[in-house]
This record gives sequence, structure tokens and C-alpha cells, in this order.
Amino acid sequence: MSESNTKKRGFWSEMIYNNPVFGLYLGICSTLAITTTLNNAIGMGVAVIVVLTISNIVISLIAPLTPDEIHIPVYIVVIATLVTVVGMIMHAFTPELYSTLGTFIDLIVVNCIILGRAEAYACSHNVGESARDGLMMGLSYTFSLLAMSLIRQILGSGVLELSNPMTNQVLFSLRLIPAGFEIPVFTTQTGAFLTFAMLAAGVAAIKNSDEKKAAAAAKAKADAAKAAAKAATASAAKAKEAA
Amino acid sequence: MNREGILYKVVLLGVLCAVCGILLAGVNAITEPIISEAAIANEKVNLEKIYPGATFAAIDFEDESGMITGAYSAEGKGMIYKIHAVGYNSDGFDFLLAFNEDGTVGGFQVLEENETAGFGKRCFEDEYVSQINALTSSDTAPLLSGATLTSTGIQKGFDAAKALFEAR
Repeated sequence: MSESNTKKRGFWSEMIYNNPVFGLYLGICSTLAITTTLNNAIGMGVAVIVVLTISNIVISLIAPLTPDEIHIPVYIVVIATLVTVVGMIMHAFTPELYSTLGTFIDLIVVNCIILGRAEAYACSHNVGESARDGLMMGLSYTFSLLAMSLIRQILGSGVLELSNPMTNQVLFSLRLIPAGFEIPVFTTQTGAFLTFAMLAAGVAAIKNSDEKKAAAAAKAKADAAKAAAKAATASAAKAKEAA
Repeated sequence: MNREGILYKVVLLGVLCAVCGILLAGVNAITEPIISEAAIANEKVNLEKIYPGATFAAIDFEDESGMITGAYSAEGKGMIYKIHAVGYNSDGFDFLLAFNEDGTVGGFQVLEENETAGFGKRCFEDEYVSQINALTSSDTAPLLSGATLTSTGIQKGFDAAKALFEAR
């Protein structure tokens, strides 16, 4: 990932350009598995934001003390501890969500995004930058989960629904597709792959279009510079002739 | 200490693991009672029917039969086991079976069943239930003529609960 690009772009651009799921193809396994409902997406997203932000902070603090030979075990111990803590808290306070997400909470330990950011960013940046990176990556991952779950829930069940993860009480439920016209395949893994492919293609199209625009702008700038140089040479020659 | 030396690496990993262990122990001390309370919250209404007013706690267990779906202690009174057995209806049925501290049956409470009226359903009527309530943890649940499959399910569940009770 280009860090300079990150600095230049705004929040929403970063959500798309540096998106770990659709841009970097990291953490796809859990994304495909749990994005059947909006509740799952929010629960998993919050868990990953917490783990990613705190692990980035801790790793940026201990990286200077960690010899290269043992940095992976050290990072894994930190990440596994954080994931276990988050799992215990979810089990205690959001039991329904915990049982729905099941083993995918524990599997955050091996989510490529967490270890990837520890290795690629947190170990070589200060605490503030690492915390920001963790937060942005977590938000970006959550954004991907929300996009996937919204499409799958609406098309698959016809209903947009959100419930309180602590009490399981339905907060709102809105039927957007009449009963009988839903596309149940979107609630299955086939639907997950279809949705993922469409969104990844969309992100790739936006990236390509921007790259083409940037290339065209650079070419136009180069042509203008060339034309200006040519004009300058011509006028110099004219002046010489006149002299 | 030399950062490249093996001792430094061992100490660093040891200290990190110790800190993580303490953190996990602290979080576990806070969340474990809440998790345990939540585990029995759904069952509490049913457990109260067997031991009214008792203090219940969910118990960890290892069941080889695969029929026991929950185990709860009623402080000072006995143990209650939640059992899923299969009778004539392939969906099976769920019931609670309690053993008092002295090994006698403390209660038998059906939770969910869809057995055939006049046949399997007789296993949940007073006549058969009173026979179960008269047993101890050294007995075997009786079979009921005309409801063989359902009473066999209860008998197997009884044996599984008995084994866990005896192995406490």
C-alpha cells in the first residue's frame, strides 16, 4: 500500500483505495462467512477495530525492544491476548452476537489484516501514527463488511433489520423487497462470492478510472511543457534572426 | 543485556506471556460470573420448577453419550441435567433430570416434545413420571410398553445423567 497516497486522500477515498478487503484482498474468509446480517457486520467490525487499534499501539511500543528473530511470536502473543479479551467481553455482554459469530471471533487472531499491519506499519512507526493506521484499517474493514451485509441481507431476505446486540431486541426492521421476490442465494456462500466479486470489481473500476485520469493529466502537463519549450526555442531563434 | 543473546529473547517472551496471562486472568475474573449467569438465565425458569429458590450454577462437563446438553448445580440440593433424547419422532425431545445430593431422583421435567399422543406421550404423564421420581442414581429407568422408543430414549438419557452424577 502506498502511504503517500494515504496522506493525500480523504476519508472516503481511503476507505476505497486502501480497503483491506476489496483493495488488498485481506481478511476475505471472515468477510464471506459472517456478512449475512447487518448485526454480524457491525459486531465483527467493532471487534476488529478494537483489536487492530490496540495491537498496533502495543506493537509500535514494543517493536524497538523486539529482536527480529522473535518478532512474529511476540506479535502473535499480543494479538491472541487481545482477541481472547475481546471474545470474553463479547461472550459476557453480547452472548447472542458471540454465538452467531462463533469461531470467527477467535479466528481474528489469524486475520491477515492484523498481522499484516503490525508487520508493515506499526513496527516502524510511532504510537500515534500506528493507532491512526489501526483505526482507519479497522473502519475500512467494517465499511467492507457493512457493504457486503447490506447487499446480502436486502437481496437475500428482502428485509433490512438491526437489533440490539446486548438484548437481541429488534431496533428497526424495514421490508424493502416484497415477500416472495427475495433472492435467497444471497444468504448462501455463493451469494457471498457474487457480492464480493461485484464490489471488488467496482473498487477496481474506480481505481482504474482514477489512474487513467491521472495518466491523462500527466501527459497533458508534459505536452504543455513540451509546447512551451518549443515556443521558447522558436522565439529565441526569431530574436537571433532579428539581431 | 545483549539484545541478540538468547537470554534476552527468552526473558522478553517470558515477561510478555506473564503480562498477557495476568491481563487474561483479570478479564476472566470479571466476565466469567456474567457468562455463567447468562448460561443459566434461559433455563432458570425450568430449573426453579425442580428446586424452587435454589442458587444455580452452570457446570462444565464431558459427556461421552452426546445426550447431555447442560449441567447445573443447585447449591445444597443436587444436580440437574438437561438431556436431549430421540424417541419415535426423529426431532427428539428435551427434558431435565435432577439427582438430590443423596442420589435419589430430585425431579423429572419435560421441556419440549412432540411424541405421538396415546403412545410416546404417556412417558410424560404422571404414572410414568412418578416411577422415574422413585428411582435413585443406581437404578435404570423403566421401559414403557407401547412407548418403547420414547422410554428407551429416557432410559439412555437417565443412564448418561447417572454416569455424570456418579463421576462428579
